Amino acid sequence: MEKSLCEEEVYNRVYRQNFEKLRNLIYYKCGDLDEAGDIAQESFIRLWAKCADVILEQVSGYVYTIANRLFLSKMRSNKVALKFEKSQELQHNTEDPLFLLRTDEFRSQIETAISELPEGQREAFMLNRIDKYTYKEIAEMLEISQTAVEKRITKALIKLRDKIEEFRDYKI
Amino acid sequence: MSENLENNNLLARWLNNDLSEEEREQLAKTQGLDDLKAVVDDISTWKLPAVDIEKGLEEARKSAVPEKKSTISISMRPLMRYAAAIIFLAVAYFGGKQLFDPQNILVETGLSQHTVHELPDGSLVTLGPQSRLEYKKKNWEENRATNLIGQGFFDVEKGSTFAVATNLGTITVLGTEFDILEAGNKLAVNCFEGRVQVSVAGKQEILSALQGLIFNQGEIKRDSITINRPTWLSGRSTFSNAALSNVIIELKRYYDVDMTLPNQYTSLPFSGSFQHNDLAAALRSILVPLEITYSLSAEGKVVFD
Repeated sequence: MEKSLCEEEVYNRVYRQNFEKLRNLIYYKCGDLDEAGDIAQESFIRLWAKCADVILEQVSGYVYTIANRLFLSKMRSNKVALKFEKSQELQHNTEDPLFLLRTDEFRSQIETAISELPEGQREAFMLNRIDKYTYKEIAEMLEISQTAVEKRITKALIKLRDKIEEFRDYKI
Repeated sequence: MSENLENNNLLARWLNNDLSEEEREQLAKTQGLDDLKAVVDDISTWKLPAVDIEKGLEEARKSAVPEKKSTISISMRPLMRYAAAIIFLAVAYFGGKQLFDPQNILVETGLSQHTVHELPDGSLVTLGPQSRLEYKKKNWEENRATNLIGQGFFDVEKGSTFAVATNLGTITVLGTEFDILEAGNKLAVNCFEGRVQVSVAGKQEILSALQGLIFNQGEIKRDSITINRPTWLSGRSTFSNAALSNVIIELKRYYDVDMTLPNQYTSLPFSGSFQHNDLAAALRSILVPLEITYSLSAEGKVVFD
């Protein structure tokens, strides 16, 4: 007999493995942490209710689809402003050429730049940086090709580079 | 400069340590990469507030009671596939006969079938299910004109103008690879390589690589595509925020399934895909995430609650 999602132990494992990642993914889309948590939780509640119908190998796809639909019906046009918890600001050291890039001022500019990326680029870039997914995994999750993921990340990187140059020019 | 970096997704692969020696040298001349690396490494250390997984898990399990299994699994009946193959051959035969011109070539597909057809100049057409392609073999090199009903993926060799006429509009190829779906009042064209021109409703639109267009009920909408090849070529149909009614139209091109979608479901947005070789699994992939309860009878009829 195949493992079923209706077995508590299986469901628990799926929840533990996927909840935070799903919450983060929705956060990159909508920029509201509470809402992202609610949507992820609601998606898992619905997944549990439907456990008998779900093919276990496809479970992350199902829960992602549910979450995406909830997201679309709830949010859509809100302006996104992402916030992250960061390590401490570096001690002021003018010798370090990279010092400027670790100031709170600059980091919040980068946060804004990330928030202003188109949803698709932001999502792919953050899934790679924060959640450490490989390009291939992101491609599978978003049902696009790996080349498309690379394209989105490349575009995001170009915007960040432009932002950094702008900041450096302004400071010097 | 930016354009250069976008080529071949160099920056994404740079981030992934996935460059050839040559590409690395090419990038070495780019300014600002050290800064970018420092910033990107910093971003990697950023975190979102932790989640209390165990508490959430307990609440999730308490909030819902699993429903009993609502579908009866059957796979597509072998008899039906057999019938589809026969229909295909018969249609192609009579179709060819009717025209009384051995120079006229007609290619047709039945339910859930694909076929790859080579045109006289080596261009390749992959026809989707329930589709029909017709062209004149005579003077092909001078007049590369085809008629299409249904769905086709075209990989066109260089040469004279290549045109595909459909009931709704004509697609003229300026470059190489593209995909067409014409169903009812809808025409969708996706360009994967090169450029194509779409003439529809008296308007002319040019699509470059990775651009698409949908003409639906008199309205033209353009969008960009994120895949290299149409997914239907590899046995799945994929959708992004498509109305459920359109997803079901596509489903019926692959399965002989008797279902009428209740009105309240027709415009639900569906993102995801379904496979082409197992009806029960395809239905689950579409309907379960949308939380629609249904059952599938042994005769292939879908009943909604």
